[in-house]
Amino acid sequence: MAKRKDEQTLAGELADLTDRIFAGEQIDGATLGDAGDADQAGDLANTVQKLKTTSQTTPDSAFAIRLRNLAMAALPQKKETVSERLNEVISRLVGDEDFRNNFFASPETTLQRAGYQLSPAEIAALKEMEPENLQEWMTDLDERISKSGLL
Amino acid sequence: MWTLEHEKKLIEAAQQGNQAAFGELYDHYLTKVYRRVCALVPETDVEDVTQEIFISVARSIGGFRGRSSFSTWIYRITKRRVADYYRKRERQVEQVELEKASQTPSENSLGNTADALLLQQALRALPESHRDIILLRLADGLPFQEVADRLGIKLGAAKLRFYRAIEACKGKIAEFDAEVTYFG
Repeated sequence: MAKRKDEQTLAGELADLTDRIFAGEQIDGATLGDAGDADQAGDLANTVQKLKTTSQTTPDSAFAIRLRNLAMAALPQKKETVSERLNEVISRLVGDEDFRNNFFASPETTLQRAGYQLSPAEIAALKEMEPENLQEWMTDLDERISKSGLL
Repeated sequence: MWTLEHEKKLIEAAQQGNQAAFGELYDHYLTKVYRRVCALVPETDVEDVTQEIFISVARSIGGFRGRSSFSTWIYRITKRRVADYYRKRERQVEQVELEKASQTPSENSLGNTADALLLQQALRALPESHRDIILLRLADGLPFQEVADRLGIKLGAAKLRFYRAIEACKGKIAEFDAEVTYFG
């Protein structure tokens, strides 16, 4: 009869066997406790193997796609007015030269990369804006700020 | 490479209603959550429970304040939904299923159905600390060092806790198996 090992040794052995099970190693029945060493790590590794089989499953891809759409639809939308969103983009166009150049070169890609979620109508409105208009808009803004006494 | 910083940005964007950001979080966590549900719920109901979890996550992500890690927050929702699931079921129904399964063993993706139900029953009956370490190592597939880091304990302590958890689980399996044999 095998000598009873201390708990720390058994814990180390079980951890090693678990790592081997996860590495896909085929472990023989005797090691896994089929020989009847009821208190040995191999016996517990049998339970590990069963638990791993139960939990290491992958969701069906059709289910994963369906749930992805459902969950995204359940995501609450922040209530934001059109003017807030557009203002944010226009303010950035005014203040960020790289963003401005990229935007006028490729509007959709630039907005998408920057993470702005605008409606098609909002994007169309922005695309109609010429760099010259932007300059006018900036001048208007300066005047408005000056009149308000903030400068 | 998934980093906590990237995850934080996705959470903030999802909290603003950004669906693409939420989709990325979903892709990262789906299999992890699904495997935990598989370990705790009968195969026929795994998809329903997983669905409830992710709908809850989507609806309540705005309330996530970052006091715990996002994974801890999602796993807390998982625990609550699994608990809700079992609250809705009467113990008798579960017993009948277990007996049926043991009479007509069938192989499926989870192995023998009766074995799977016994394992799920045993896992649920364990103290939370035992169940958590088993799920971290076997469902999430984290190496022992990462399990130890996640739990804030030393590697040796993680291995010892895992050993005790598996020992306790094995004991519960034997206990429930004896009940089925006795009542069956």
